[in-house]
Amino acid sequence: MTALLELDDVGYRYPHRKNERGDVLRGVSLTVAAGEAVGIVGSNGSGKSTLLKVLATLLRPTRGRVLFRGVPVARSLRAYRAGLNYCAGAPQGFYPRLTAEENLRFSSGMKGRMLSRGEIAALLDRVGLTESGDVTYARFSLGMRQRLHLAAVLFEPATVWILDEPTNGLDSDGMALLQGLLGEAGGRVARVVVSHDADFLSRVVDRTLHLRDGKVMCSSSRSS
Amino acid sequence: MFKFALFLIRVQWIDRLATSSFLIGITIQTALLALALYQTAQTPAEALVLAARAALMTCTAIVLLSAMSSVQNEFRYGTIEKVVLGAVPISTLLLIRSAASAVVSSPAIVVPFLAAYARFPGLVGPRSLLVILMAYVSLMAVCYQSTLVLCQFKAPIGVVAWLRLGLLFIGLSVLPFAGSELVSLVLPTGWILRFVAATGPQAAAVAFAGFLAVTAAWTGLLWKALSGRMMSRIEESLTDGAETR
Repeated sequence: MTALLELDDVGYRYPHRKNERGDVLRGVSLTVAAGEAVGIVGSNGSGKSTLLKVLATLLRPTRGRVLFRGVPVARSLRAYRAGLNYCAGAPQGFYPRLTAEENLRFSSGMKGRMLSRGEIAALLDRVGLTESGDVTYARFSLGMRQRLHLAAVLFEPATVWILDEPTNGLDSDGMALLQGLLGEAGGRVARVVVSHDADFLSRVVDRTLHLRDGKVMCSSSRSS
Repeated sequence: MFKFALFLIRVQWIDRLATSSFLIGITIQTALLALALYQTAQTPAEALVLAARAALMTCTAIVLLSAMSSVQNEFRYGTIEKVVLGAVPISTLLLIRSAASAVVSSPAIVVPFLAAYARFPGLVGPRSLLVILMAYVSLMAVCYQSTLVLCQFKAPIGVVAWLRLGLLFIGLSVLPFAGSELVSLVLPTGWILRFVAATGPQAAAVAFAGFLAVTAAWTGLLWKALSGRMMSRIEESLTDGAETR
């Protein structure tokens, strides 16, 4: 399989911490093929969220390189970000004073094309928030917030989804919805998912990487 | 992009309405200044100067609040990721937001001029309209520049008061001293007041050119000096408490 995304010996050191503890990622190498789903597990502080932020180009690695279709992302940043949907997950990530619909209008506008009311209604419908478009984000429960994040993940065009703890706050229906969305995107969108829920990950990803102290300790595929 | 810009004006309006100082404080201040202008202005020229001063005095507070929200809210709400990853460059987003912030200040800009027009109807014309336009541009620039400045601080709220003092005492000479008018020319507002007070077309043209030059110089200088550090601050915020946010 051709690599869509590639991390080559990537390291990341916190900019404001000069000592050894500043190293969050230490030589992580990873490839993600087009349409593949990769899970990442690890204990708190193992570097999972930082790894996702590096993959999302929110943080620039202090060592190594990130490649998109074989080209360093710095050189294809616009193309990469155009197809990237990053979800940091609830409870934050949206403006509390804006309604669900307004938040999606803002997010889609930032992505390059502000969606119409009809398109937003369809997205809200897909994530089970049909009746909540005019409710402010501040009034949403944690589960509803997470569903709104999932609606933003569905923006098109998408080649890569990066999801950080997407199961947070979701009830069983929400989990089934998330599993369905991840399954539907299979083969079309590459998905990188961080979750503490190993059981959930085993159902939705093709392989799982285990991260400890900023290093990939082992990798296990679904079949194994 | 135009639709998105309009939408951002609406967002800015929602954001400002949420602060009681905007809804109550600004309304009272605007009404009192307009009333005082109507009662005390003796000549059309004086009315125009007072209107410009009243509009700028009130609106600097609004745009500084907006600038502070732009910085703090993105970090606090965790929406900075969307801003960084967005197809709209940060500099453009900042520009649109600053323009939106100036637009939502419209009631406080326009009302003092309406009071001046009511007192001296002859003031209605291209000159006073140009002053209003300059006020909009100046406020947009203040918002843009102060967002860049406030980004540099962990607690920007403490800096807002100092920026406001600087804009009022230096830029608008609210407490005049010997040479304060000359000092005010380091800021765009000083040039607006000079334009308003200009008696001939040549003096007005010089003041207008001075206004444009000083506005562009401050904006360019601050962007060059502070945008890099702004990106570092954003990176810090993305790594701060990544697991505990």
